[in-house]
Amino acid sequence: MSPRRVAGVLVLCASLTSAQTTASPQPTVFATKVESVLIDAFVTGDGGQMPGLTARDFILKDNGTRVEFDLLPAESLPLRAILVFDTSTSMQGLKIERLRAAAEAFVDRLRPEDEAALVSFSDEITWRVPLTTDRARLRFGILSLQARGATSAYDALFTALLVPRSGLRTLIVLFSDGEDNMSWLREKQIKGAVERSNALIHVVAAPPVDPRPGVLRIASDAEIANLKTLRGLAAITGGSLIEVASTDRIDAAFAEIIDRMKNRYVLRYTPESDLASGWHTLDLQLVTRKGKVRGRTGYWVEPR
Amino acid sequence: MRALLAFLLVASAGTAAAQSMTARETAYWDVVTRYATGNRKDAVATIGGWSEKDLDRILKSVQGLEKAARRCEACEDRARFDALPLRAAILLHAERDRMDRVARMQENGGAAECAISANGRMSADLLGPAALQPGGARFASRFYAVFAQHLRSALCFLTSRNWAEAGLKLAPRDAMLLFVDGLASETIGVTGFVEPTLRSERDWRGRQTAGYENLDPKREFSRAIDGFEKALAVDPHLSEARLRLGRVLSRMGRGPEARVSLKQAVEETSGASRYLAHLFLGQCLEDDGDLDGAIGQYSAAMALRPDSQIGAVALAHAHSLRGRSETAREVLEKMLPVAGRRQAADPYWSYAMGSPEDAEALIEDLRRETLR
Repeated sequence: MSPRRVAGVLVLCASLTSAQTTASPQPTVFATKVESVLIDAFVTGDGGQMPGLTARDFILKDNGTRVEFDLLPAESLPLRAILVFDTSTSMQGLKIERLRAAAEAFVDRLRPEDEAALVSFSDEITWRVPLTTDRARLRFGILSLQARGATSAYDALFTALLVPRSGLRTLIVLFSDGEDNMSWLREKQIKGAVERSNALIHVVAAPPVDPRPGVLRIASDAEIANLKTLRGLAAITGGSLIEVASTDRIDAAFAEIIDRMKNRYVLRYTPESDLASGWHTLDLQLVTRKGKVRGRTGYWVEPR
Repeated sequence: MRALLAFLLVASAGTAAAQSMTARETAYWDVVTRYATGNRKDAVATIGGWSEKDLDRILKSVQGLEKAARRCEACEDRARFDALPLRAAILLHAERDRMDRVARMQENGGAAECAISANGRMSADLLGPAALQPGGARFASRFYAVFAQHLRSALCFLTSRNWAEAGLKLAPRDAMLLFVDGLASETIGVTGFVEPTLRSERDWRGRQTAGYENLDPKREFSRAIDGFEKALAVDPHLSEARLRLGRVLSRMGRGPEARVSLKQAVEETSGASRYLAHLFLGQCLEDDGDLDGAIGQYSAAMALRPDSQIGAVALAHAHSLRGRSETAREVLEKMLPVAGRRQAADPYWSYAMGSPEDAEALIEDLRRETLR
């Protein structure tokens, strides 16, 4: 195994052991030199999510070369969810109320060993609650969300990707209702940061609403482009964007994310040969039956 | 306010000018006088009750006096015209227009309101005659520049540019107006829209957007560059124009020129502009692959504003690209507790669209100086 630094999805084997046995928020320190790629895979067929698959049902290719992998018991892995919420002015009124209610329900659906954190963004990024299993603390943070200011989604996402210690795999649930108009980071830069991260990102996008009563709001070109960008960012990590038709569907979207996480497959792949630097494309396929597989599209290896 | 006092003396002496006034005109100038002498709230409320037709009659009367005044430089007509408190009238109508637009905005649930009211048009129409008065031309160009900035901060970007261009017809070499013209174009290019309320409406504002359906940011940035360069040609010390020129050149992919302009802005500016110049120069260097140079500039920005989240994100990102994830994390961790506790707003937040508070301060300065 090359000692070369593998960014993003590469985590040390010991982290997996740690993740299965403890819900401690403390950063894990690893002594081993063995590195692995972990891939969250979501498989759907005609009847929805497809349970009961084994390693034999998949093939995985790294830059076109078939590689061996292990299938891990996903249900035993605790979640580390970071809720990253848009609290810009456009969220005022019913929308922020629905988001609060949906977030509380999301926290209630977590298992006792699962951790969650809360980050909000407008002009500023506020890390409201650090990763914790303390549900009361999370609920208090959720209730304190107020809508005011512009939207800096990319900067908030970057912060959520970077602040948790390396070795901790996180699920980021990003909620936004409009285009990013205040971030320092641009699309290309946040894409690079996502490619180098070890997080799984699911995005929930609510429709823009015209503040004038009865006026139908048509999304602007910039808002449509923004949705495309967020969808792309989620796809890199194997996650997806759920577009809700109205704010009363936010709760259902969050519930769907929890459901997907419960029914996902986690693949561990340990490269044996020296890794070339740069982007490695991962291709995960279902071979024994018909279905759609969504997983991380690749990982990044930093140059020596 | 010498002109106002002279006018009041003329009127109270019962001269031909005063005698020839209709009762409605007398009432109008009384409202203006009340505004100029400190009964601001009362005057703004009263003028709101005047119909467009009434205001039109007043305008025609002023234009008639202007026509007579243009015939001579030292005659009674000219003295009578010069005594009209036109600047106070302009500020009064503009204030009422702002008030009406805020009310409509609230009715519309906060959507930007850019349609200029009858009072707004009256203030614009009086600017031409006012420019003939002593010191009037300077006041008019300043008024155009200040109100263009107000309209930009009210999210009325196209109206802001139209306002600046109207001012430039009067004063083609006014550095501030050239700068504000560029400013509106930069904002249109950055935001990608001309005015937020235009999409769904088919009134005169809708027609104004014709040609903007395929808004091309590069075309807007080119216009902005033109405005900033012209402003700097007239006034090389207009350092905000230097900063913005560098920023727009960078957006246009003209890195070497952008770096020159931004380096100059770093040297020439102070405070908020210098902070922004460091950030923008850092981004130019980062885009050019000079990560150490970028880190230096972002650090300089952070030294000026240690509570800057934008600076922290920029610095952390550059460190992460440099392979220093732990340093990047430390930078972010240090910035997070600052949220909601900063002393002042980050200038980056209002860079693209301006801030209503700053625009209001400019209007207030103009009002105070004019009615002194």
